[in-house]
Amino acid sequence: MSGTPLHHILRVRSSDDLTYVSPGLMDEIVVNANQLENSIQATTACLWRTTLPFSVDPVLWRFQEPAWTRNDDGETKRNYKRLGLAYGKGTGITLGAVPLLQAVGTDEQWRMIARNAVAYQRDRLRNVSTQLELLADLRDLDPVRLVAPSLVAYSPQEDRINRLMIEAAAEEAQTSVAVEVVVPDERLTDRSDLWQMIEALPVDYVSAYLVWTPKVTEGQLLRDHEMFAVLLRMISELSARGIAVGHQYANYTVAALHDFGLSSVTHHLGWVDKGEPVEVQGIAIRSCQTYVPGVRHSIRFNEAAGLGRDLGPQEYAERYCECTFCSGMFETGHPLDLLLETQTFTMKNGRERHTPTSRAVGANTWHYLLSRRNEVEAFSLRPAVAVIEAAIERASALNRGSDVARLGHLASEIQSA
Amino acid sequence: MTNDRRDTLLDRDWSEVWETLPEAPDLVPRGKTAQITLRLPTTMLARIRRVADARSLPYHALARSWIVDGLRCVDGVHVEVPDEEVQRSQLNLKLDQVTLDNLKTRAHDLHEPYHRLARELVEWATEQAEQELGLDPVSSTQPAIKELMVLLLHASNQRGDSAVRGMTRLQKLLFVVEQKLESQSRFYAFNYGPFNEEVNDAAEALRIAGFIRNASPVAAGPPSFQQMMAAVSERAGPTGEGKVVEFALSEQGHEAAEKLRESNARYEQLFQFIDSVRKEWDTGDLNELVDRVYEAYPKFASKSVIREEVARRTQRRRAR
Repeated sequence: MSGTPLHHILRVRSSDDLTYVSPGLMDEIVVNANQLENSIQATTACLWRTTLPFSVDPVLWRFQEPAWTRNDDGETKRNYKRLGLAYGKGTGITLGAVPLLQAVGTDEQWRMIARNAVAYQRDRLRNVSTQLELLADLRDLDPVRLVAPSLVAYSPQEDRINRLMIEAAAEEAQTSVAVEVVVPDERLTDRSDLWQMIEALPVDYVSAYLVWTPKVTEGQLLRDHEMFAVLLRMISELSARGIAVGHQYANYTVAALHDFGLSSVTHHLGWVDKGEPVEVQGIAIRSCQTYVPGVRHSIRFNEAAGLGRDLGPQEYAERYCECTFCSGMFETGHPLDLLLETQTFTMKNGRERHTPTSRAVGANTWHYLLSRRNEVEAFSLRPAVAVIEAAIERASALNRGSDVARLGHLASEIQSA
Repeated sequence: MTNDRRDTLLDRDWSEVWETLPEAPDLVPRGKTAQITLRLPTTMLARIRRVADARSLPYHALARSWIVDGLRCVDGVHVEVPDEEVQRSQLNLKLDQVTLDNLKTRAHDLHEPYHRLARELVEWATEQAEQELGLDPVSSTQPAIKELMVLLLHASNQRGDSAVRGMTRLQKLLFVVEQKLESQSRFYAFNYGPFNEEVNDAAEALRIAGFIRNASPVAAGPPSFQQMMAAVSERAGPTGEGKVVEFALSEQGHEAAEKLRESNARYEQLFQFIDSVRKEWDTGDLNELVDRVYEAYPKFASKSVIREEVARRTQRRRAR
């Protein structure tokens, strides 16, 4: 087990997320650059009020494919247009119009984009103060770390460009930068050149490696031993260099890798595991799923009701969830009355569908965030296997044999690693 | 000269020699320089000054050089001068006669007045310079939307009510304030008339900062269960009559507005102005406000999906 506590970072993807940003529920926040462009005043107001340390994720990889920055009408979204202008400054390139690899022709242009992305993180929040903030004498908004922009590393071609951008970013930052290591699922399964890429990642001027494996769900990680082993090896090899390693879209299974050198977990406020694909997520009707800490993953409302609706406060805390939101709810009723509250929605084709109410979405968000916080604290304090064994006990008390097996598999993966 | 000699000279064909003769001097000598006066929106003049400051140059000299440079590549210059901006300020520039002649010739070729061409060249060059210097053309010359919003919510309508009910009303009132300020518009024509997403962003920023009454701010420390529940209830939206979100300043918000007014005479003046606009425009129901906005600023209603409905309503109102 690592000697340092697991650092808990919340990813802010939309203005809705800002409501849940609170000191004590996370150690730090990372704001997606597209969110900054979407809602800079609200985001900065939140940073000023909470005084939490923060950084900005440049999300340059979003420009890799035009579809990843476009709206339903096929147009580049306004916030990405503004971001593209900032990153493309001085290159003569319009980011977002064509795939980035086609648009950028020279190494110097890649370097310039990297320099611009670093300058953006450093400077974007410097000039947003209005007279209102100046009068209130608020803190300067300087990110705690600067992140080198990167592409999703599909092949050695992107690996080379990423290395170029890391160098240029460090030059611009004049200090160490965090390096994103974005490895898609296909490279995890066919990893002929993956280790060469990891080997070639620079060490000088690198303050952290931020790993992310798009489209890899927690379920996949647990089902596929090879995939889990690759992720574990990546984290332990990188941390062996003496540089902090974080995971950009972490879940319970990833947090368990604290024992193997993982120093931080970043997650957003979505509790339905989609494996975090790279493209922009469209607006969809919310599904009736809730996070169940008793089994450490999200399940459908009817299943959750079967597990926890009949439990009294003490049993509920012991088996289902011990978060402060749920315990507070017991003062007026049962937490699942609100967490599983639904409404009927009639779709365009006339069919009816149940969706969570707005209140239920708000309640589930607190419940999920607090549960994740508890998990991070548990993995910080105790060896992963001990934490997972306690989770197995709870799943067993809820009579969830499949989850007992699932968590047991995770424990044995960690023990055998 | 004898008569014979004169006749000989007159009979001779001088056409080829004519081309080689020097130009005749002006009957009235022209000055070496001439002054032209460009009428510009106040915001544009401020932008020119800001660019000049950034480059440590006098703004008159900079504007003059932009005209000279612009005439060299006038074909590539394309500026759309917004019609709705009032040109309140003037910029007096001394140009040498050659430049002025060139300007007039180019303007003649382009079928536009030479003052207009000069203004376009200056505006185009300002935009280019702002891009090079990374200056935001709008924000530095205008009060921020958030400041306008705080002052608007600190002001009151004729009934003495300072709360604004509904996002649509807030959008439209801020739009009118901006139009009346004769500043460069940050609003654009959208599905329901003039719109600016910055208004929503600023309203959210004020809520988070604790400036909005009956809205839970982002917790500055670990939230209590009550704070979490308040956020949950807010997420469900307004309840009760009309189900409209109310924007009203909290005590903290009013204090901030007072501080703003006291910080600078310009803000006090701005508050008085916004208060008068609000009393004039925030008079009746929302439909009345929308109808007036569509009528007064038709350009911003051009994309509205309710334009015809609004027109019919306006006609009915007039008929009454």
